[in-house]
Amino acid sequence: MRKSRLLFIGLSLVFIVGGLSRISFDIDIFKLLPAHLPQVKGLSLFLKNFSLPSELIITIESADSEKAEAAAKSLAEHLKAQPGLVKRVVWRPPWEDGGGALSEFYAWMLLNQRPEAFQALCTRMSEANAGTTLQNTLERLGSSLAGEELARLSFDPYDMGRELSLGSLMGNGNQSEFASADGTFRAIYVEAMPRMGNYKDSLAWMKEIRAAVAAWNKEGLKIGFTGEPAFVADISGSMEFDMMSSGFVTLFIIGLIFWFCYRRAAPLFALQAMLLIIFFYSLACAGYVLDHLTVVGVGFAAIMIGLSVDYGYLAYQKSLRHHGSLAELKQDCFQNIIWTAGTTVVAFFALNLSSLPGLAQLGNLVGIGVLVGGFVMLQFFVPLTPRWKRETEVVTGPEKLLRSPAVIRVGTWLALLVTVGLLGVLVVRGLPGSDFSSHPLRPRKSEAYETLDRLSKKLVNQPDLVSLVVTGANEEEVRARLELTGPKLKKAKEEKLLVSYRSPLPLWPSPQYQSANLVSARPLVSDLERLRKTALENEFTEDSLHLTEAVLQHWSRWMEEKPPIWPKNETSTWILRRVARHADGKYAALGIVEPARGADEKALTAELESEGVHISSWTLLGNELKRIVPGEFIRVMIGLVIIVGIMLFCAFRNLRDVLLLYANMALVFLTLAGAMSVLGMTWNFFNISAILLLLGTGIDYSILLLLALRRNGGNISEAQASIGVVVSLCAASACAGFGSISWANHVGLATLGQTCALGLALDAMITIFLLPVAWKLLRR
Amino acid sequence: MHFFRNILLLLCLTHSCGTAIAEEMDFTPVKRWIAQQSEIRTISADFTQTRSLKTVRKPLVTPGHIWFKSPQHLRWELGDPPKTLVIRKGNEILIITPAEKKVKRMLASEMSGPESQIFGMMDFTNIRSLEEFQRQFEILSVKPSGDQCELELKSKSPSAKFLSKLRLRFSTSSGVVLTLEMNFKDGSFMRNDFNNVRVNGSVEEGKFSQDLAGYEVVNAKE
Repeated sequence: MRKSRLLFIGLSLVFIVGGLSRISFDIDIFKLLPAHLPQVKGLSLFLKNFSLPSELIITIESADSEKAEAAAKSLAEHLKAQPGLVKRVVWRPPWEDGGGALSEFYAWMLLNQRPEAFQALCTRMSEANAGTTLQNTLERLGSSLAGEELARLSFDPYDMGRELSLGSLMGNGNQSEFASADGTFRAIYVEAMPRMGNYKDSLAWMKEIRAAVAAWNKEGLKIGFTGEPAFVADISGSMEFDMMSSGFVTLFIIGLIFWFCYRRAAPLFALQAMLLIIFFYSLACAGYVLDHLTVVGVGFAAIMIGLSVDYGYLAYQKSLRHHGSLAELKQDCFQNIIWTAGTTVVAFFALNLSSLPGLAQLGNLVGIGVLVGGFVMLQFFVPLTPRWKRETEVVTGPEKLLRSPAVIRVGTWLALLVTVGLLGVLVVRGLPGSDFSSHPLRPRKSEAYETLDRLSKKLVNQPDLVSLVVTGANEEEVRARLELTGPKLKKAKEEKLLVSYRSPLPLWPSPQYQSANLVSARPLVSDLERLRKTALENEFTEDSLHLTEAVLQHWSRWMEEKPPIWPKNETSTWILRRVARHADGKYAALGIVEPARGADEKALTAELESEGVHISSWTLLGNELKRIVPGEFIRVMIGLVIIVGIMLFCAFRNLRDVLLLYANMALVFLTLAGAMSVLGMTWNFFNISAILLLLGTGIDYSILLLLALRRNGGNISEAQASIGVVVSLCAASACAGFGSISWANHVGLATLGQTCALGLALDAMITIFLLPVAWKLLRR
Repeated sequence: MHFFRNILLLLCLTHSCGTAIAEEMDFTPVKRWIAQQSEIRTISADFTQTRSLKTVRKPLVTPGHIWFKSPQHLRWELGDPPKTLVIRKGNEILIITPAEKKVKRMLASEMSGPESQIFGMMDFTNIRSLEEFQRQFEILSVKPSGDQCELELKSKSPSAKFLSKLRLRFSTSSGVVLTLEMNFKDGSFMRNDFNNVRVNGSVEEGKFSQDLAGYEVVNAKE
């Protein structure tokens, strides 16, 4: 026996340690959203292909633009000097570093042109036309007012790049991805040297970076951190804290509640031990079942503890009045737990019907936890209870209160007053508002988010931009889709659906064009000396020819390669990193669309989207969720009402009681809406699920009370005294569980906690004081 | 005043523009010149633009004409026949390239990026005093010579980071700008020498409009 126990404990430890070691966090917001929605697909594709897991963005602000520029340079040098910390630091456009860094990219863009355009380029540079081309360039250099053209022609006398649009590439004049227009805000792009394998790597690297920056920042400049490593460190750190702190806070509060009620140390410690076992078992199960815990999933620990403890309270309270055998006590507890846990588990598993995967994960975790909780309490806690039984029956403090007719009378009137008051508020102020924007998806406090917002405001300042992501199986497919998208973009602009767009087509290679153009370029490559001589004869200096020479050299090198050709130097990869993805079998191009204000989103989406072509933005996503989620929620709600109804009918076999339970829940929901209205709370994608959870968990209280009423022949006082204590304890613990996540960093999770805690408190009040009265009235 | 602003705007449209010792300087000619600007209602003038670039051996010289009517009407022709034409009427600015049949349209009030910075830097509409002028430019030197005065300026706008300095020569008697030169950090410069300047004469309203039939119009924001 002892051996088998040791074996069981040993196996349990192995199971728990194995499961816990597999736990990892996923901060990807899209894991919380319905994957089938086109907007989610588009945004996920954008992140999958263009997020840079190793790129940290450090922002510097100073009132003086020259100081800001000098600080950016100095910080970049300081970081480069830290051994093993950074791979690359870019504080200004790489091509400004000189050395012809941009020539490879220029040569490549020229090579991607349509063969007709490339042929025209060759003609301009031919022996017959070179002189005229150079004279035309001189004339334009003397008369053009376009800064971009002047800058280019000064170094491209043969006007090779006539057909290229370099404006967007070079940034919007003074404003670029490195500096705000006024120069007082700077961004530095830092690539991590160590590999960011998991969130712990990001946390460790960010700690080192912060220390290095703090050591440098002696002037106290305003510094911000954003980008993928900052997000991962920020959010994962708070997730870890949220999960552990909310779980332990709940355990602590439950301990206080139990002590306040029973003042018994041994059962309290046993109960806490059971909860810890349940917690670690459930978490280990999650480790085996799930790939990653999402920001919402982390809330499960507190909720699950708050719900599982109900079965412990019930078992302990029953054991105090139990005079039969342990088997009979177990049987009695089993009957209660099976129905209450059943409805709770069904409600949480029903979250799988929701299209929000984050909520589905939370539902599964809590569902598993409640099942484990019910099992552990029945198998391990109930057998312990007889040893804590005392000779004389002890009446606990809360029980004494609930046995006092005066307290019940006052409680009933108060409950009636609060209920009527909240219903009145609901009539006067209406239902709570709704916020179906992306705000609840974000952390409440995150430096990375705040810095990103500031960065966007300072460097982009166009909040309504939409991403155009084009994917394909290879270069040709992406190119073909981009070419098909071009006319559609033009048409959408003509139809005033969009104001402007930037297609990545000029930055996407066509192997076919490249092959043809390299053939056309062959005579030019061998004619460099003639081109040089002609330019010098036409008043151009040696300086003007560096770019032309470098371009011809790149073409010459590429003649040895097989298209598709991608540029490889640091400047080129830097430019392409957020525009084109062409590695590991993934091919994706990214463009930008600026929709017209008030444009029909559906029409815009219909116009542009096709196979492999996605347009997406947070605004579009929010609107799509607003359209879809409420409908889905109603479907899930109807399904849950039916399932719970069947379960209740099986338990009570009395339609009147089942309807009374539903009426009780309806009253809870209405008062909750009134309370939310008073408190200024709003519905969002997350706390709307509180309705489902309240239906599943809150109905337990009324089930317990009705079962007690039926068992003792309708004695309201006895039912209120015996089960009222359990319901109060359960509600207080569940409120502690949900309440402890009210401070979670994730806004959606926090609002879910607040709404559930509020709803359960109202539920307990109505159930203890008003339900028995209603039940008796119906029985008359 | 507007005339001066518009000339600077035109010059700066081509380039993004960039402390020195502030010795005791006599700003009297500058103050007088600022005061004179508000008396100018119209101007028509010829000019010669000289651009000196590091990559071209000889300076590029282009003739041009300018017409201005207070407060915000301007026609600027560069080249003969014009290769580039700029027309400003109120808030709208058109940059026309006749040979290419292309027009770039921008609104002064909605300009963003370098243009807005440059425009902001050069918008003297509300400048009424030397102090206001100095908030936009650091005056490096004031050199009166006969009935002319030359100012050496440094822009305080972050947009002007490629500009090392500006040189402005004006007539102290009429307040008319005679030369405006912009020096860039890479060593190149652009100078406009004005001649045949006619102040407060009649300027046809038709000068500030252009038949754009057959032209491709591109809005600057697109």
